[in-house]
Amino acid sequence: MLKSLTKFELSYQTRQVGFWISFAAMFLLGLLSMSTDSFTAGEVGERIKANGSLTVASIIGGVSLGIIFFGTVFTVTGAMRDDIHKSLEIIHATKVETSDMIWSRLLGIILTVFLCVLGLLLGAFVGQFMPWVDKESLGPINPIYFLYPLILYGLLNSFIISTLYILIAGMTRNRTLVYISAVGFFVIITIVAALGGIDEYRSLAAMLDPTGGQALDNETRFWPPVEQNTRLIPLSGDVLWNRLLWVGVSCLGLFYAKRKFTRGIVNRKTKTPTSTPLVLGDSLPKIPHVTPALPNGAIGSRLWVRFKHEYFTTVRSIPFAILLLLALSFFTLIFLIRGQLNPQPLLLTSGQIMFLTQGSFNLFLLFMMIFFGGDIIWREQTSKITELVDSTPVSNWILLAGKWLAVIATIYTVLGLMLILALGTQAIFGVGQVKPIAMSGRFYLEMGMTLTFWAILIMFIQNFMPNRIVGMIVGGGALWAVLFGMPKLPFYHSLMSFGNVSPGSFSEMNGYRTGGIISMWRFLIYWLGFAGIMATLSFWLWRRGTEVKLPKRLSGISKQIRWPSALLATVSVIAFLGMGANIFRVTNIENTFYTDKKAEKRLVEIEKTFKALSKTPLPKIRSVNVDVNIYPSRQDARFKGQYVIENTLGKPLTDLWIDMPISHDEDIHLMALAGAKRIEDTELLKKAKELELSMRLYRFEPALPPGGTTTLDFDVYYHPPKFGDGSPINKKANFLNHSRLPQLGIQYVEMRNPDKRRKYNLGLREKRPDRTDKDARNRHFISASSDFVDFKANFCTDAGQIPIAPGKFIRETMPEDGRFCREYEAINPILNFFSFVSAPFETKTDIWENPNGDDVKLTIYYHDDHPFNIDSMMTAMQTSMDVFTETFGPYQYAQARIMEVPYVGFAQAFAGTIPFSENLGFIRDIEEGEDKVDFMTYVTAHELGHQWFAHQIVPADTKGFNVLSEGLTENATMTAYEKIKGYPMTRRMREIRGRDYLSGRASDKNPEPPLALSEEQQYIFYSKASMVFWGLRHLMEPGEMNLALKGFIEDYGSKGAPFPTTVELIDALRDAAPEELQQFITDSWDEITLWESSFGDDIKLTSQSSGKYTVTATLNLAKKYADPDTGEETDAENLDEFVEVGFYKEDPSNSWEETPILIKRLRLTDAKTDVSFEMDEKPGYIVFDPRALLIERKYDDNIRSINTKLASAE
Amino acid sequence: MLSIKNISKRFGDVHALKNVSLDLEPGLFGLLGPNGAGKSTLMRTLATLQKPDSGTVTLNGKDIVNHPNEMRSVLGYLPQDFGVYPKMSAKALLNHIAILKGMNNKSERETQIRALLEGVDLLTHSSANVATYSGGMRQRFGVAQAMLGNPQVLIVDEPTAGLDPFQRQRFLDLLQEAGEEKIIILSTHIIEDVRDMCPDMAIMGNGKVIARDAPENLIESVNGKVWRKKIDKSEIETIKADLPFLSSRYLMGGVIVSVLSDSNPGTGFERDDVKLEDAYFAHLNGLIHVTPSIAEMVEA
Repeated sequence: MLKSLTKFELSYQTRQVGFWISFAAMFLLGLLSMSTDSFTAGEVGERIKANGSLTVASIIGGVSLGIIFFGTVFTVTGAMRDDIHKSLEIIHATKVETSDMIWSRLLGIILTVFLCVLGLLLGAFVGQFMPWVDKESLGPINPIYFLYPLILYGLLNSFIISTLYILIAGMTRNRTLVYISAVGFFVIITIVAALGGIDEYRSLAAMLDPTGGQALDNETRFWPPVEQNTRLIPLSGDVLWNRLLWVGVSCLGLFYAKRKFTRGIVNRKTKTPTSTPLVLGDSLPKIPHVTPALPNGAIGSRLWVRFKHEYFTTVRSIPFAILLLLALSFFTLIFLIRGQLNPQPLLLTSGQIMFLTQGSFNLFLLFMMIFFGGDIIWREQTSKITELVDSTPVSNWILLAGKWLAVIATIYTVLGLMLILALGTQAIFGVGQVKPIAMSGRFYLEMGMTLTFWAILIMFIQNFMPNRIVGMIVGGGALWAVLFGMPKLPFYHSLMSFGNVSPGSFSEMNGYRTGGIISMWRFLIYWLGFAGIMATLSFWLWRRGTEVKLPKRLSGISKQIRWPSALLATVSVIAFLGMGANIFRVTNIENTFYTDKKAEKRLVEIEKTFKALSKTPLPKIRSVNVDVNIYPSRQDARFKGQYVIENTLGKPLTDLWIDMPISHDEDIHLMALAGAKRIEDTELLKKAKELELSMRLYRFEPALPPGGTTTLDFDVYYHPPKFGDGSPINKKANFLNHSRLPQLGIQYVEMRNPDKRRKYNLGLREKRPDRTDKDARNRHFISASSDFVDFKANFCTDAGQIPIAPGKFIRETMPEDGRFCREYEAINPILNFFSFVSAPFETKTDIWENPNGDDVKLTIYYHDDHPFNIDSMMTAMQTSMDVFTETFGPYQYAQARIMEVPYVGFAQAFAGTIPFSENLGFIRDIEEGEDKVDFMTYVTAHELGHQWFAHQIVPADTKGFNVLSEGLTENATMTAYEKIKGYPMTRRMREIRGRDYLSGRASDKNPEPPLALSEEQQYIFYSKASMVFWGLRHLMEPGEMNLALKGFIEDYGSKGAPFPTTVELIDALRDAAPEELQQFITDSWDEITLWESSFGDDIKLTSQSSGKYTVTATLNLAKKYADPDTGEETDAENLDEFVEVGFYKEDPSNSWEETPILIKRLRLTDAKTDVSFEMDEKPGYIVFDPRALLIERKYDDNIRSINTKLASAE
Repeated sequence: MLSIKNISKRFGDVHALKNVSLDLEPGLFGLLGPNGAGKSTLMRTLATLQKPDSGTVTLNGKDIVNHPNEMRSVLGYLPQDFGVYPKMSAKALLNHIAILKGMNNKSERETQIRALLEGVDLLTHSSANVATYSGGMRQRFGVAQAMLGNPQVLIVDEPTAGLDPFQRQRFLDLLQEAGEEKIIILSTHIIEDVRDMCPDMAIMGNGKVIARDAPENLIESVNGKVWRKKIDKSEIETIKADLPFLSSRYLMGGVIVSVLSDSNPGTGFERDDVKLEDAYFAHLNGLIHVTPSIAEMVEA
């Protein structure tokens, strides 16, 4: 009986529209995830295969979470349909066994959910055979990779998720609550994922996550490509425990739920008023006469009563309360744990509070729109009151407007609450000025209008839907498409970014960019036009009466058209098309518009045409003298100046390409290369013009002899885009760089993505030249057309702002009203690499006593509302200058300055001049604590470190160049950071670097070179370099390694060509390191080496009669070399490693004391070594490699508590 | 005058209304017919909730198919089955509908709502949610909302279904009271309701108007021709096949059959008093062909 009933259930479920929509969506997602590069999970490509074991598991474990939403529909259909269709009394009175009936229903739900997951799997499997699939992204087809996660994640998650909904259905008997619980579920997963981002909560998060995604990530996050492609998810560790836990919980839940589904009618606690007996013979009351208003009259009160009713029904509903409550708790939670979420949280300034509030509410606002947008449109049908309302003389537009306005008012109600919440939070917990106006603008205009347009879209879609649930699914799908799907289309344009009126990036220094505000208003009109079109169509398609099938309404449209609606439609179409055309003119005609595809193809074409030419050796700029004028008030700029250029090629120079900073010829008022004339009309120049490259070719007549010099005079006006978010010149804060000046030679960017290169037949990416390449050693990493230059700048801006360029400050002038200028001159030649920053700054100045010469002025230029960290930043500057000078040698400039800059997310080291992102340091919350990190200090030290490594040690343009700038700077930073913040916080930074390296290499599309040959991979030249220097620094005698680096600077710093490479660096290190560490240097620099260290099971602690303690343990050690292409690991043949074992009283995970009970260095030559240690204090924890000198994938098992029963030696 | 001319309506294969024409003057008009006869379709069409495929409906000369507001502004409608907004009291919902109907004056509106609530005996429960009402109470609420705003046309679709005898009587009294100068269309399959109340009526069957006349005229048309007999259950098929069969009902172990005949149709039959029910079945079963005079009336 159960079998046939379940069969009936399945066939009933699979007859529903909702099922097929869900199934099709899942199938499609599976297909796209497998076969297209836009939808792939992670960094899929030639290296990490789309059909590899882990990628398939991630698709099934991750994408399948769509069942969170679909599952509710099936649960309602399966478990609550008798209630809904009022057939309960009939069905439940049949002679079917109660338990069979309930079990079949529940099984039906679970199997239907599973069928959807199966759809995903089918789609993914079929995706492998699609004609457009990139064959290189596929490995051998292995059904096990599909079936195994299908069981472990697909089936079990179907079971777990369905059970939860069944439980809620059984306990509440309220289908709305079942739908809403999907949101709750989603929130739980989001929170758990956030929690999983914090290292110490990873394991907890893995257990809390019912879907097992976190557990999967924990077990596999450091897998190199080869393991990702071929290794099955381990059925152990977090994955095993997570699956067992949740299947167990679900089984209990299911049995409990089953008991809740009793047969028959559930007693509801509703009060039915009892009818009072009628007294017959009463005279009937006289019904007074009234004269109703005409149908077109009383518009105000009709609209008001409809609006009021719709609005209050919505905001007083249980789903609204639940969603709002969820949002509030989400906000509170994020607010409370934000300290943990981010290693160093940002201070709660008005901008940050705004982002925090917006971030926590966004998702819920989306759900509210999808739910209430659907619910409100169908309210009369759901309550079956259609015939009463629709037979009254109320116009369709009033009914429609009431609903639309109510949804919009609901959005604005939530936004209003958010505003109060945000302002209140800032007032109580925040810092800086409270900015209610700016915040209202953000919430009400930007968010409010975008959400309004989305809500209207969702309600519009309901016009075409057979019922509200299908409409909600489709509406959710539409929003997904608008937000994530459409931007992936090859012809995507911002005109297609539905409802998006965002003015773009926000900065507390500058607010929105003026161009962003302009585009916001235009997009607002554009989308209002579209909303108007949807409004009229909705009006014409309104469901009135009892005959409301879509074809009927569509065919009746012509009869609905009257002049007011026709007028609205016309105005809307004009606004939409007119403003659309206007925006299109700006983006596509006045400027060149590139779709992603088109931009890609252009890059390919440029590479094919100009690659060879770009390698032509260039003469070198020797001095730069510029007059920079920027006009923040009207947002443009003028760059006038002169380069002195020397022919350093050793042969006569005839042709010189110059890359113009501006594509509009009429803005280039002067571009004169002395002794050369401009050549026009060559094939290449035509090609360049076609490709929108603004390059010019100059020919010397006669040729410039070797050693000869010439000058380039230029005068260029710069008009940044006035529309959109792109202008670097703003009313308040401005940050421009040398790219606004003409550049010698052909500049182009190589396509990096190896899979795209294959697709366009570009061949493998050309790596940087070898370290022995003579030409390459004669140019440095910044530029092929200069070594060091003399630099002079006169920089003018609007009065009220301070103009800052590299070089020593010479004088300031006010040449005319409203203008303010400063002159700068570098006391030593600097790299041809400048920044021009101007803003109304506050300043903080200090003097650094230079042991090697004149005192150096330290200045921080900062936004007046960001004074929080200025003192700490100054301390960081002072200490860093001290440490670097003492450790690495003299500082070379007359000044060191930091300027706060808007919009960007980085800091950048120009000569003695450091633009520093407002978010990166100025509004960081500097909390003290040994498990904390302080990015403000770290980045300050880092950028100052670059003054030695990048500005003194200037790497040659070869493989591994970044290690000499960023890698060496990392080492310098760690050295200074340890001095300022102490060992525990530095040890914590080492931990973060380790994680960055391991996860970076697990998701790299390119092969991983050894450190000495690193290319563009940040996880190598920042993170790995940091770890390698850290290890060597601690393995060598204190100070020895940095002493070697000091020597390296003495040998190669500020010397000009040939520039140093990692060969010279490694030589310097080898010379300084003892014989026994030479292999460690080889392993660190020339191989990709991973160590594995752990303890044997038995760790024994004994107390001696002398009062000492002895610990005996077995140390397991392995050393593996990873293959650069696949990451496949092979054991090293010989072991001869220096390792350390440390003993701590407390669990050191969150606080690494520098000098615990004991740290003992050992030399190990065997995979297993029995050791014993003697110490004075009783240890609580034993740690293998406590200072993290080795690079290791699995560090968890290196910390063990010594909780064995204390054995006495006597 | 409400004038229905040649309206037809199809739902897929179902021909719900076939060329129906009726002219209605103020007063109570009864619409009788079995389930599926097209009564509700006709009512919904008049209430402007559906449009006919062909034909016209005019109210005092104004086309209400294309200008439904002409009808809606004078309409009171009680559908056969309706729901209400959850969590809304009778008073609030009446107020809501009253405003939609255009009753703009607050005090007038409140006075009328109070009177109506009293009239349908819901005054004591006027603050309770309508959604919690029992069937009868909800039906009485339906009556109240229909009568809001003194409608000129009152369309009530099976209004007494689910009402107990007392409530039914009360409702009919209300209708009578209101019916002086209104066009009231009462659709029902309770024949006695029509007999008691309506000076004019029509019988619908299979999407058509089969007969239309005053109840007494319809009765008169079969007067003296109805014969009844108590028979055994087994004989019924023979009688249905051989005689102009009207109806049958079980009575204490036997079956009473009624047939229509000018003369005694056979042994055991006795002539009986005629009820409206007999006229109804006579027309419905096609035993009386529409006389030219009725046909003329229908066309007029």
